[in-house]
Amino acid sequence: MKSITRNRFIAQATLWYFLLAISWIFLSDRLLMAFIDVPSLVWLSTAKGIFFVLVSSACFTLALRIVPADDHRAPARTREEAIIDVLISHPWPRLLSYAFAVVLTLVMLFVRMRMPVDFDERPLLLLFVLPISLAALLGGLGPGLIATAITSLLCLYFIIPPVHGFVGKASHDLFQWSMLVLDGLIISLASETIHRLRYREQTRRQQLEETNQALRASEERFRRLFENAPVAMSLADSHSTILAQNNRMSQLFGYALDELPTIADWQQRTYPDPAVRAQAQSQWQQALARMPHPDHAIDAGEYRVSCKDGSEKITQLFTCKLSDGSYLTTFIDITERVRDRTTILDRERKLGAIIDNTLALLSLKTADGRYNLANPNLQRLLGMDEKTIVGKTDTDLFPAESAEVLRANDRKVLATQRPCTTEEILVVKGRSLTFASNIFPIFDRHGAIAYLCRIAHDISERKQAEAELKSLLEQQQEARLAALNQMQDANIAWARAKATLKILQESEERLSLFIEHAPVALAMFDRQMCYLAASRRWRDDYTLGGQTVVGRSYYEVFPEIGATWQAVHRRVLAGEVVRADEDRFVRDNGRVQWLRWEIRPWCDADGEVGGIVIFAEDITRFKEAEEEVHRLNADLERRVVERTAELTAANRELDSFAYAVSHDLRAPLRAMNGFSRALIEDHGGQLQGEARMFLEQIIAGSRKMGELIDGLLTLSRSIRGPMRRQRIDLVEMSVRLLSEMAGNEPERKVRWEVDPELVVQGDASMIEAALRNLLANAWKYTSRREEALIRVHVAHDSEATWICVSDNGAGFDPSHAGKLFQPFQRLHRQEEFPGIGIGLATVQRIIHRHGGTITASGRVDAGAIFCFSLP
Amino acid sequence: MRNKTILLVEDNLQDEMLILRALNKVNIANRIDVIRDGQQAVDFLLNRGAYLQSQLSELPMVVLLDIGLPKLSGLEVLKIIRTNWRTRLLPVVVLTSSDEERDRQRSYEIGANSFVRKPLDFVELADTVSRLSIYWLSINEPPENSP
Repeated sequence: MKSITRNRFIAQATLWYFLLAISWIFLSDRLLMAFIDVPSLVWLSTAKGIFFVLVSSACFTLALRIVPADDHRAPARTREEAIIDVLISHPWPRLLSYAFAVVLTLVMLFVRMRMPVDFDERPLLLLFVLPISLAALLGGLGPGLIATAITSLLCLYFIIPPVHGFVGKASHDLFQWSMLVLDGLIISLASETIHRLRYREQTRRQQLEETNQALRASEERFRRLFENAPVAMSLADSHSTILAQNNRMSQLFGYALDELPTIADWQQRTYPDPAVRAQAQSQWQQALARMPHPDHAIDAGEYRVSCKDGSEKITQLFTCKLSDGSYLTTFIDITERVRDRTTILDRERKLGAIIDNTLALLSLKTADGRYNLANPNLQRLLGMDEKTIVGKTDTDLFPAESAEVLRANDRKVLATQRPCTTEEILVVKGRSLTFASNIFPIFDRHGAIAYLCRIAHDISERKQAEAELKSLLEQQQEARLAALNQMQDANIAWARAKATLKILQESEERLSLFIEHAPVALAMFDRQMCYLAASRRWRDDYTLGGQTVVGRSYYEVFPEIGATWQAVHRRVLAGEVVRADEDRFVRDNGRVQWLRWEIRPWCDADGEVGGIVIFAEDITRFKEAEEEVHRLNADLERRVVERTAELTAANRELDSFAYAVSHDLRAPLRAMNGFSRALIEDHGGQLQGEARMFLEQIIAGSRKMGELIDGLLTLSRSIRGPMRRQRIDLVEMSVRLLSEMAGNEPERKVRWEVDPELVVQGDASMIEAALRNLLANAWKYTSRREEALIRVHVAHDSEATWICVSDNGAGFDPSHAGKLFQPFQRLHRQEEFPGIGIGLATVQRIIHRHGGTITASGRVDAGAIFCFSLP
Repeated sequence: MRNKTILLVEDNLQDEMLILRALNKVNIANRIDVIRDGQQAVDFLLNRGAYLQSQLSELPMVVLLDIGLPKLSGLEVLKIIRTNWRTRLLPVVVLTSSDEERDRQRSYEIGANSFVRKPLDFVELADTVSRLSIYWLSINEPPENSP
């Protein structure tokens, strides 16, 4: 609330108080005049004074408290304010205040009329100021006026004598009455004013609060924007103290706000070089000086800022003076951009220098053949400056023929999009010049050819010099060659002869060494079949011992060589190669020898057959071994076939035997059983003593025999039929089988533990039969245990993985373990544990059929463990 | 209305006696025809050979057929019964000593209505045979056979 409003309120309140007090004094004194006796006058006067003080202090308190405090913050609402707010601002309490005025007035009228003291028949209108004042204060103008109107009318009618009528009133009573009406009016108006002020004030306070909230939200937005802006920003006040900097700023330069609290500190730290700092400071000051007006950002230039990590960042600053005199400065990192710019400028400069100073002729043409650039060398050649050349085509600059040469090469590059190196002969200013040209395309961003660049070297002089040099060299060469040729021929012939001789010597030496030690029988003969060489093996094989054979005739050394072989030798001497992979010879002593041999001619330097080479290898031992193997194999195969046939036959026989057993062995047993029973049934009465018992034994025996036959058949069938190996989950199978057994004997209390992972490869139905037998055994032999436990678990040893079924049952005597797996062998008496002794035999046969192993271990009364492993 | 008889094809005299004894206990032994080999069984059912007559005889309610029979085996008899139009729907129970898987499989494949193993113990045998007879004579509803 502004102080002006508050002052005006105080002035108005004072004025109203003044009027109220004056009228009160005047009225009440007039009233006191009516009393004659002094004591009652004094008593009334005191009461009047106390009453006025009470009323005025109440009014003052209310008036002062409803004035809001001159404070920025919203003041806490007092209880009175709350009451008045309710009365003023809500329509329903407003009606209530009217009702209150009426009721209060009526109550006061009632009180006045029932007053026990007679005030000398004075109307005592003063009493009615109280309801009017309260009604007006609470409700404002309306209730005040209502109270005034009701009071004045009722007083005129009921209170002022003569009562019960509106006429014939005494003039001093009428005066008092009119004063009451006046008082009522004044109080109502005054209260209304207070209410209005109060209402206005409240509205203003609300607006203020809303504005405050909007301001705070705006400030929050600004703060977030500042904090999270993707550019570095800092805020400094007019005294160069840095008020805030955002996150990006801290990231960019690495400095925290409390490290560099002022701009001076900032400059000190970020421009370590004093000269740079001075320049930066002056640049900054100039920027500030030319800042046109607040809220307008200006480019404060580029600065090289040293970051905390020692790197240097080129930063562009934009600063903006805000209305409160602070500066908001934005830092944009343009290091990369400046570096790129510098690089590009640098490259351009280098390229320009190269183009200007190269001795080559360099031109740049657009795709449609117009010159875009010509280097000074080209300008000199054409005798034109660059401006003249740019925009022209080859036809404008060269004679038609030369222009066509250039265009043809250009077209080639345009078509292939590849560089082209060629020689171009052009006529320039009437002279024919040869150029070595390199033409290559320059692509634009989209991959299309933007320019064709041609770098050409004038090689006319070099060409000419080359041609001259060539003809000169040719003449010289011819003369020199003629002289040289003769000399060289002689030299070469001499050297060649010497070299050949050496090679021959070496070759011969190597050859004789090679022949001597060759691991086969080898001999070389001339055309007359005289030995030229023979390997040591040859001499050993043909038992020549230490004889010197070289030079002697083959037929002389081996007179037994027959005409057949001589014919073979002659064939070979005629140029044929004869060979045999295995050949049988019967020696003089009757021994059979197997040879692999080959006879081939050898040629002399002239290409004529110079003789033959005989190569022979004794393969007797190898041959014998091979024959032995063949013989053994054949024998083995025959035995396998025989054995297989025997086995098949035996299997078939066993099968038909089992079938016959199944069919035919049961019938007589059934007859024994049936007729025994018939005998008991029909002639039981005539049977004496033991006779009946004997019949019972026949019946029992036939039953037992039936069970044994069934067992035998089960055993024989357990491994019959083809085996299909597959992956088997023993966990599921074990749990299923055990649950089945538990279902059959629900009275048994058996706990089982099955390892979580038991997997084998095998024939599912066979393995199930084996596992069923093992579990059934465990089930049976634990029948006398209170707490039976059956475990199916895995055990590993160095050789295999075992699947084990163990129990805590009756176990067995390990000394009889050998009998466990034999059919019909039992380790327990029939009355202990019934059975026919076929289960474990079946299990073993199934495991063996799989190529596996089964073991058993146990002790009497200490349980048994059966483990099997499958390959 | 069909003649309510059972045909028992059984070559073993002892078995035959025991079966008849069992049926006697349930008072149906007088309604049993007994044939002792496969060939006769076929002739009997199809009115051929020794059983050739002008009038076709009534078919039994059920045939109790052993497998191991002289001349024609039980399975061969069953095959002939099923291939013949007149007897193709005749209920046949294979009643045998065998517990061979292949016999059971084969019997059902050829078309046996039931496969029952003769128990070794007479008490069980009597129970089985009497139940079979009661079932096929009284409980089972036969198909309406075309002549």
